[in-house]
Amino acid sequence: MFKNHTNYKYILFVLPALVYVAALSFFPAASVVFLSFKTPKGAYSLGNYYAIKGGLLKSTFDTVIVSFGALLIQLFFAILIANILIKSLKGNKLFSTIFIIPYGISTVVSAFIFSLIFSAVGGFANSTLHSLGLLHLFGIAGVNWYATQYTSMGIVMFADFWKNTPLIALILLGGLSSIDPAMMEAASVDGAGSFRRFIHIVLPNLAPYIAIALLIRGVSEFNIFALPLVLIGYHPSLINTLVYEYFTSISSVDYSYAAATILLLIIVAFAVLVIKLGGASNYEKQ
Amino acid sequence: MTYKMELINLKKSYNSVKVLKNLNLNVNEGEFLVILGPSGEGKSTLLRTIVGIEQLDGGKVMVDGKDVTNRPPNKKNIAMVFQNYALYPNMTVYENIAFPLKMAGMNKTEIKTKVNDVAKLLKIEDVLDKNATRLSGGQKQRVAIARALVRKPALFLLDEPLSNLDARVRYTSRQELKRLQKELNYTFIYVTHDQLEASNLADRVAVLHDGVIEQIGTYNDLYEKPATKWVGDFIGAYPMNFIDGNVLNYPDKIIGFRSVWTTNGDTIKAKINLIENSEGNYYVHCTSGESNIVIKTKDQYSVGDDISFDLTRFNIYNNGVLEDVKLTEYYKSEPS
Amino acid sequence: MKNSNILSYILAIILAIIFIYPLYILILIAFEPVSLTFDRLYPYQLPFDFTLVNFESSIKDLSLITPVLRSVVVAFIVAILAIVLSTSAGYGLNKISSKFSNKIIVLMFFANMLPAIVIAIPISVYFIKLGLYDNVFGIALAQELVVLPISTFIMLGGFRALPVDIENQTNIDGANLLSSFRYVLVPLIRVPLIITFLLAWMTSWDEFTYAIIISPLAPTFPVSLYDYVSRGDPFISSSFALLVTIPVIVIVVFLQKYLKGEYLTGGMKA
Repeated sequence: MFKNHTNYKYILFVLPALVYVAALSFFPAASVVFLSFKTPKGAYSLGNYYAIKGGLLKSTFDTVIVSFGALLIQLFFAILIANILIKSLKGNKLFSTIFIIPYGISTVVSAFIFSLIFSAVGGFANSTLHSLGLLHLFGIAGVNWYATQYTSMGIVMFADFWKNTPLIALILLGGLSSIDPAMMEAASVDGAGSFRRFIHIVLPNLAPYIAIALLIRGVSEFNIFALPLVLIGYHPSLINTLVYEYFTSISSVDYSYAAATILLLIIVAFAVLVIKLGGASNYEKQ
Repeated sequence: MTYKMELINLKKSYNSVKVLKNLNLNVNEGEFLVILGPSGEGKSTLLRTIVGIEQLDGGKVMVDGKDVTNRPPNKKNIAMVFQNYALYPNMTVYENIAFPLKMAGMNKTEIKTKVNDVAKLLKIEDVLDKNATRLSGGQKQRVAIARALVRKPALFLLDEPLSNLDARVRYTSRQELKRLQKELNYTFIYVTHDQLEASNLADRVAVLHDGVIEQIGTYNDLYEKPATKWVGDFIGAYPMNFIDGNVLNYPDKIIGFRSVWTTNGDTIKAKINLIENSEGNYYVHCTSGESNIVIKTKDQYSVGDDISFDLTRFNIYNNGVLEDVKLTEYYKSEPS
Repeated sequence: MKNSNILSYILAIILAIIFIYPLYILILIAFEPVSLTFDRLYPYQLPFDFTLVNFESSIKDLSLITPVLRSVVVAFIVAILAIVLSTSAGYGLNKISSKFSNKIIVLMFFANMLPAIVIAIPISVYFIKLGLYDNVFGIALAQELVVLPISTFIMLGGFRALPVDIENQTNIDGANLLSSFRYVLVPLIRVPLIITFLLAWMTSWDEFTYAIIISPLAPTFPVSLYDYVSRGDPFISSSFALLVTIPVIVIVVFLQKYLKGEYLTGGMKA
């Protein structure tokens, strides 16, 4: 009510952060786009894009698969976890502590552990299958988890699910606890079973939180870098690892700008999409 | 240590809404001035612009003849008590009261003496070590007053300081505030929407309406001689009654009278809609011509009856502004 | 007990096993003789033996200590910078109209969405010129981008939650901006400050993309762990990884009550 609308001196307090963001994020991003059209000879053309067309297309495709796959798995389990934690079960404190542990393990360490688990030889996953007698059943010495690019991508998705589901679960738990219990009771009295309560009350109320989780995680999902780099290297390359691959080889530095620009495009498109959808779900709520 | 204050042509708007429009006001030394007005009329804004936590769009604030308009709040030497008291939750009562002195760079022993003195004055010595959040509403209010008093400022601004208290505490706090102000002879500017507070506390009451001081005077002045129809309507437990001037041979004028300014007679006729019983008196709501009026009587009526009465006194309004005050001589001896 | 509760328990236990298994494996490898883990085709999954040999050899190998220390230094720079920038920004944003401040917050979150690798590559070029390449300050400056929006948002929430008029009261009582902050505001925004600090610290600790591109030769712990792994040298890394992971897990568990969805989401809705 008493906000000082006319007093713009307070912008000065915001300025350092704003300048920081502009100088270290908008400016570099713009220069990447600019450089992506520049050939080694200094002319401007689409040459960089043509040169890496095939690889770029495939990486983009694979990245989209990994991102959406991982997002869906995370969302599913996060909703599950949030719904378990919201109940006042005995031992819930212990469960919530366990569920948050991956958040405290750094991405590279997680990737490292999963690389040990999914090792084709001497891995703990194969060891588990061996103990269960499954390897014997199929008459093989071990599963080569990296046999095809899709199993490789599956491993990345699994590791990503493990590392990042806690964050989404936390956000959704916040959403669940914001639902008025009286609303659920009223629905029960009206004869709605737990499934219908979930569809008609929980989900609509959760929608804005899901949108936020999707936005936060979705954007990071497209930026997934450390996990695939450690776990599967360049087999296949996702866009981020592709950019890095180009960047680290002197002969193809210019290509990295083109690949980076495509990545930038995808992110912006995804963000706009989720914000539009999330905004719409917020709107319906009112 | 008492100062006078002049407000000259104060202007303030939020976005396009004008809250203060060339507001002028003089406050005398040692005066208890109450600024009275309905909610949302910018009373708080007025205090905030005086103390400087809101920027004025125009005008001057003069304290003791010196222009302090553009001094920041911490250089103005004006104390203010907020409605919610704004005690520092991270400090004890002692630290709260000591804070202004600490900011003024006073040494510790001096601070201690002053805080103890003012605590004694406000009878809060035994809560000095408590955390400020662990006090009752009445205690919080005393601490806020103590914090304002301790630095001996030029002026005190109080923004509805009693409105968060329950009725009983409010009554005692009111008495004490009045006693304190008179004893110490400080200039108090006190904002409220509560007429009872205004009539009890004020040396003078200034009615804020539509961005200006519409009338200033003792509460009795405002009650008996409202300068405008709006003030008449606003002041009093019942609004002033207004009827067509033709009834008393004042064509094109409006007659204003209080419900107690009536006596038996047959000059004015009305039809009764509703009757309120209040401690042996009846407040009769009725319609006279086009106007809804309320009159006080000792006689019993029923809803639907016709009633007629004369006036012991009345005010004449021309275009909503007070033109004349008539004390009707021959009615005057009769009790109302 | 209701049926749905039994189902919840079963699910919770299965998920708990999945979430704890990798950490268990890390601990197992660290304390088990290599002959029972890496040297076997099917490594044992139960603790048959206990040894500190792996730890001793990892601590003797000093090459990982420097990156860990570097990571700690970078994380502290990032966290302190986050506190300074976001406190200032949060304070300012709280004072201007929310219509305007929301736009600025959205802008900052938008910047946050730009891919790290897209930004890191050109920044590395500029940092070479500025002498910030392969330098702890260079990494910290870049990583700050990741934490600044959420930090600003948390601090804005902190300032918004302050009691009405408390800062005005300090001014009326004679305090200038500095003493307002020192005696009243900072004590009152203590919790958001702590959250901001820890979130920034942990984000930096975990950050990989900026670190590997901006400081490949003076690596932080994640980058040098990656180097070890890609060189196929997991023996030392595992006990070392455990060593540096345990304190962070302890912090996270300890901080659980602060890691609420509200802190991470509120601003996006406004």
